[in-house]
Amino acid sequence: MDRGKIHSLNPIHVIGLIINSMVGVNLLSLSHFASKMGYNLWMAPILLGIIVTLTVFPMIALCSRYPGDTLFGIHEKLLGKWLGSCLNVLVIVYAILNTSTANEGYVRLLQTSMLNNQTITMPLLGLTLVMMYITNGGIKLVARFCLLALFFTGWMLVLLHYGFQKGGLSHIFPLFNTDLASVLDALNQSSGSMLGYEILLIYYPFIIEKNRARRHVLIGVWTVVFFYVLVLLTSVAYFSEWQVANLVYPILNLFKAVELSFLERVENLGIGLWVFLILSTSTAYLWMARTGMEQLAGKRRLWHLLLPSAISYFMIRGPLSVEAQRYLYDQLTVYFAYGLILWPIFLLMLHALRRGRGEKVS
Amino acid sequence: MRWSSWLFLIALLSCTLAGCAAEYERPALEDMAMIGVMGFDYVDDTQMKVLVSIPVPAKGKETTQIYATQASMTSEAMLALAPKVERTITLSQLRVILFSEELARKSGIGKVVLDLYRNPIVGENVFIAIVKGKVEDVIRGKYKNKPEINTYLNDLLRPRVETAFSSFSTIHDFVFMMTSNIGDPNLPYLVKQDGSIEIAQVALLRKDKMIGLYSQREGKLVQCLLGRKRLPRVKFGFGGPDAAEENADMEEIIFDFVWSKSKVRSNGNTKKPVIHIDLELRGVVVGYDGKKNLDKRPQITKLVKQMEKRIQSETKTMLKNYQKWGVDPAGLEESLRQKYHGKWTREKGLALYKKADLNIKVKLDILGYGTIK
Repeated sequence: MDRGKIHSLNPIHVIGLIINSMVGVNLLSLSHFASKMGYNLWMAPILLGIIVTLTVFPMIALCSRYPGDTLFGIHEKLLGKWLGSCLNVLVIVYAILNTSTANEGYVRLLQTSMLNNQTITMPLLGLTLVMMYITNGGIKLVARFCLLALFFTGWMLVLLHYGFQKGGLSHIFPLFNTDLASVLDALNQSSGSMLGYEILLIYYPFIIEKNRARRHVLIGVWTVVFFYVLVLLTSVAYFSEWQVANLVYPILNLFKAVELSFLERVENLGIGLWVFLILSTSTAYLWMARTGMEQLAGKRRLWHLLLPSAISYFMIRGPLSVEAQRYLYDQLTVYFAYGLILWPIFLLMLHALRRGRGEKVS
Repeated sequence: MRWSSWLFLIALLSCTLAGCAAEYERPALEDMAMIGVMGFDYVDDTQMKVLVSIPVPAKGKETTQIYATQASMTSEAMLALAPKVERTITLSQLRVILFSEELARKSGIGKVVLDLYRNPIVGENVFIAIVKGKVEDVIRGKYKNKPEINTYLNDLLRPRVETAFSSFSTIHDFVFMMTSNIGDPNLPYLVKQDGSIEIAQVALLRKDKMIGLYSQREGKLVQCLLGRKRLPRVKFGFGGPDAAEENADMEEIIFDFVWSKSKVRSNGNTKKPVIHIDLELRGVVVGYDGKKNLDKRPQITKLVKQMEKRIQSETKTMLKNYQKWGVDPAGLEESLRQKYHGKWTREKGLALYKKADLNIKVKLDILGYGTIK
């Protein structure tokens, strides 16, 4: 075990963490979210990838100035104990919201597709327990689980060729047949699918090769963009524009296109395996919440893990109405994320003012 | 024993507790009535008669249960049928959906198909077809020396080269064709006669309403234009008593298309649209009756020329007629859409399609002619 050893993430772990914390529940509806762009929707991930790349630079720049601290530590050092703690609470809330987003989206899909004559209590409870168990092992276990999940689910990309063959790629023409308003709308809607790389701000101190971290992060990000473009090109070939705009889970229908002689209803298998992608996202965020709680309390306790998990569980299963949940997951989380992604730029300026440009603080 | 082993044992034992739970939500396989075929007949503009046929698993003899009810939606029909059937009915093994011609012409089939498309239980390989007359006669009909109706219809509508003159429309394909705005959907048209069912023609639809029929021969050309790689055999006849002097010899050829490719391109001009169609066909002569010596190169070249000309003229006549009637089963509008910037609608597509000039080129290769010359 790597308990107590701080520097534990090697390059492969970093790439795995980036890929699998990004790919999650949002991929299920990605083509639906980007459907405003019509048949040009496959360009959305590329544009998003460029935005993500641009925001990775300030993140790494900030973290490399504080090589021993997570974002929570940076807050306390830079803004003082009191203000820093207040911001840390916000970041913890953000992490819990994202955990819930992943779990809720998946459980809702299960409810509509596989278990449509059951309530979601048991699946959700199982999901939460496994999530807690993995997170309890620390960031290295989360990273290893991400790699495992990548190998368990990555092969499903091969299944895309069934949908690809049935449709015609000629649908992508004419290129650039869209306007700025719909592009921006599509980007806003589908930006949730690119979230996950910002956890980098928290696990940066655990990376072994810090000076090459940016490269590994970008490899991860552009691998995800490549996966997304493949999925979206298949959607373009397989669906009509009406279908893309009206199907809530296009991935489910793409799975249905698969015809294997020895196996029917591959979508059930695919959706079942999808739990790995969900868990790898939600564990990373739960770990983020736990680290924040530890920073607040100044010590390491089990309830730092239990509390966020319980909040996330009762957000989904509890008294919140569906409309309120939708608002939390689809709107609040995304706007929160925009803030968090741009936050390092502000912190960098503050750092330059207080400590001088490029100064390192250990 | 270590505590972890105890924990494992307890976990293992608690799994067996599942046997004590009340089981009423997911019945076992034997308690399910799996609907294989659904049929819809026209009653009036809102109501339709829904028929379902359920195979009964039994040793030795295959039997089928058929239930009927009146409803305005598929899910409503399921609701009404549930108490009538002694087992739990499910749509998870649905294979075939049939519509009567009257329903397809008068009220359209989109509502029913979309209702089933919404249901995640329904699989993807469900075939849709339109039936001449009443669906009830087809489903309740007796067919000698045929498997029971569910298997029979599923086998009949399964994609095969021999019946590839119509699109094998699954629910997804139909919804795609209905909403794609680049052509008119087509569906197999079934006719029941002499104790069997035949895919006699191809039904042509506008959106979800049936508007006409076209023949198998036209269907083969349409499928070629739609990009199907493997086409069914076609018979060509040349000459005859009232033909012109130079090809007065009677010739009959059955040609098997091994490989075909169609390239449909438009020039992108909205004022004077031109659609270029390049057909590349390769195949073998299966049956030949005529005076040509197929072993001789010049003679076979002459035959190729004859056939190319025939296919070209047939395609041209067919497409000109479609343009005149304003229907587009061959999806030629896709080539216009690819070059059109701005918001594409079906009305624009049809207007462009109707005034488009066609430029058809056919290239045919005879790969073989059997074992005699």
